[in-house]
Parts: sequence; structure tokens; C-alpha cells
Amino acid sequence: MSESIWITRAKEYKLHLVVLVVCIIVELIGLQKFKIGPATIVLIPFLFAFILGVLLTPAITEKYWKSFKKIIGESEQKAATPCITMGITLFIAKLAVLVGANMDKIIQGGPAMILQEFGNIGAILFAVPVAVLILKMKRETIGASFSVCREPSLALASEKWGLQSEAGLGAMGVYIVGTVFGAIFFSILASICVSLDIFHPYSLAMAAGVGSGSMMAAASATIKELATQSQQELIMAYAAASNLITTATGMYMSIYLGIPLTKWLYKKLSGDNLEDFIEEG
Amino acid sequence: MTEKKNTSSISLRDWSTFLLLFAIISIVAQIFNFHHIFGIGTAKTANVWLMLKGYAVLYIGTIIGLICAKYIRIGWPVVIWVSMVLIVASLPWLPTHKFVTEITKPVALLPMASVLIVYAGIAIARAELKLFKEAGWKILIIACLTFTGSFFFSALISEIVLKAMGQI
Repeated sequence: MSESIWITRAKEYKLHLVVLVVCIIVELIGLQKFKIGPATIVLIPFLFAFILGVLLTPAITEKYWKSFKKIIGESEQKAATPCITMGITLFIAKLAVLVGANMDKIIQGGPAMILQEFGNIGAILFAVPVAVLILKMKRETIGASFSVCREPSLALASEKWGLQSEAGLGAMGVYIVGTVFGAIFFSILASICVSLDIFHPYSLAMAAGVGSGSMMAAASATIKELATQSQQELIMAYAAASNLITTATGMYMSIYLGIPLTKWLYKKLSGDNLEDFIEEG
Repeated sequence: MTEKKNTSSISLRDWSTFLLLFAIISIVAQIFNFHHIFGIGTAKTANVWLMLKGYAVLYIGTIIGLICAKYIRIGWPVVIWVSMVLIVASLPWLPTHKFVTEITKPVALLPMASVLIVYAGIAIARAELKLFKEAGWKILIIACLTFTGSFFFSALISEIVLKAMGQI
């Protein structure tokens, strides 16, 4: 038994070697900055890393590079999932140091930090009208609009409606879009917001925490690059603290505010009174 | 291994072994980040000895968090325990503050995040890619609006409150 773990780890060596090589390549490329009109776009190595990672999944490589499946096959792919769960703890450890060390300043910014959690309402106000009035979507609107759907929200949707229902499929769809494009999208959104100079970098840093850990990492790293040296550490600390609060309270926000408000707005706009809408809990 | 609660199906030994490997890959990534060929590097140092010391402290903190999550069962997930341990250790009012913050400073966040996201990219399964295709362009638009709305409103609220309190 005592050696089994070394054997299982050793079997996955190809996966880890590929990860190492991809990381070396993306870090050599480094961070790229360029201007499009008034906005400065920042592409962090993180984004290249993700795109290369997806391009190396077996489902994609079988289309253009069949022999690569011998290196990253289905079993190596399966081994990658727990690696995220485990590895993220070390990343969170470093973030936690930033949060802890700046706790005095975070407490000062506390009221803003807590109130910005209500930014969730913005998702509903932006998404529901377009979904109902322009795209003529049905009840999947409810699942798709009530929050930046990450794991806790998806769990909630599956418990309340079941993932096979219309609303559940909406939640599932947003969850998957977030998984595939979330980091890239948030990073680009953040660079546009910083360079248009509508908001202070600290406000954007707090907003960077609304989604998952990878969305937060992408957005905050981008904001940091475009801010002044003296603001950088606090930006990371604010983003990390905001993300921590979202993780802890997001589910309650959805239950008591997000879902009721989404349903109310959907009813108003679509004329569907949701009489036969099945919901549990 | 018999435990069923969320992440605990992974044994402590598996977890701690992988973190060693993960730390090594992250250190290599950071070295290349520092000695990048194109673009801009974000890491402040490529000194392996300084990085090792920083990683060692983070590693110990993480393991303490993992042990807490395993034995103190009050329903907190691993990430909350790990955060708690390191937040407390680095609080400015505690004597450990200076040691923990100084020694972990050489560890750059971004290269570590890159390593994680490569695993995440590779882990995106056939089923997810297929569902993504089927979910269609409408969901894609709505997802983008949901993200934008949430981000924009959060930033707006923060801006108003921070301004009102005279902090920016």
C-alpha cells in the first residue's frame, strides 16, 4: 500500500511533463500588452496556458494530431481533474497571505466589499431583458441569468430544478461557458474597464471576485498590470477577499435575492406566469 | 479513503505528494517567467533558494489546513481551512506577520495560476465540449451578459461606497 501512491503518480508522469512543457512555453511568451482604440488589452500567460491546455485534450487532438493521444489520452485527462482540486490549495495559500497581511486595509474597505456582493443584481438586469425580449428564450433564461453560475450555483440549480429541466439547462449552459471562456472573458473585460478609466482599480479588484477562482485570477492579474506599483498588492488582496466572500455567501445571495428577482423579472417581461414551474426547497 | 464529503476522497498522502510536484512545476514556471523571451515578465525573482523557502512555508500552512479539514468536521471545505490558517498566520496584529509575509514574497502568483489552468484546460472533457456546442450561441450571449452585468454592477457599487467613505 505504501508504494501504491508513487506508482499511480508515476503512471501519470506524461500528464505532468506536458503541463511543465506548456508552462515553460507560455512563460517564455510572457505577458502581452497592446492597444485597440482607447483600450489597452493585456493578455496574461494564464490565457495562453488555458488555450494550449484545451488544444491538448484528447477530444481535440484526435482531429489534428492523432498520435498525441498516446501522450495525453483519456486516462491522463481523467487524472488532471483531481490535480486542480489539489493544486488550487497552494494557490489559495498564497492568496490568503495577501488577504491576511492586508487585513487592516480590507476591514477599512469592508463596507464596499460586502455591498458589492449585491452586484449580482446587475447580471439579472443585463441578461433577462435580452434573453426574453430579443432572443425569445424560454425558461432557460431563469437558470442562465440568476448568477455567475459557478459550482455552488450549479449545485443549487440541480437541487431546485434538476439539471434536465429548462431552467437547469440554462444554468448548465452558463456554467460551461464560464468554464471554457470565463477566464479569457473576465480578463478582457477587466482590461477594457481599466483602460477606459471609468472605475478606480480598487473597485474593479473587488468586482474581480464575482466568479470562480480562475476568473478572479485572470481579472485581477490584468487589473494589477495596468495599475501603479503602489496599488498592486492591495488589488490582489481585495480581489482575493472578495472572491472568498462570494464563495461563502454566494449561495444565500442566489436563494434569497437572485432567483426570486430573476423569476419576477421573467414573469413581467415574458407574460409566462410560471404556474406549472416545478421548484423544490 | 472511505470518507465521502466533497474533496476528501483524495487521501492526505496523495494530496501532499502532488503539492510537492505542483510546487516544483510552479518554481520552474516562475524561473521562465523571469527569464521570458517575449512580452513582459511579472515575477520579481528567479532565485530558487528564496522561492523554495517561500513555498515551504505555504506548503506547511496548506498541510495544516488539510489536516484541520480532515479531523475537525464542522462542514468547512478544504479551501476555507487553508485560507483560514494562512490568513491568521499573516495577520498584521500577530508576531508571525512579518515572517510569513516576508518569506512568501518571492512566490509569484501568476505562474502558479498558469500551472493550474493547464490542468484545467486538459481536464475539459468531451462531454463538456459537446454540451457547449449544443447550448448554442444564445446561451453564450446570455452568459457574457450575466458576467458583464455582475462585474459592472459590483464595480459600480464598490466605486460609490469607496468614494463615499473617502477611500479612493
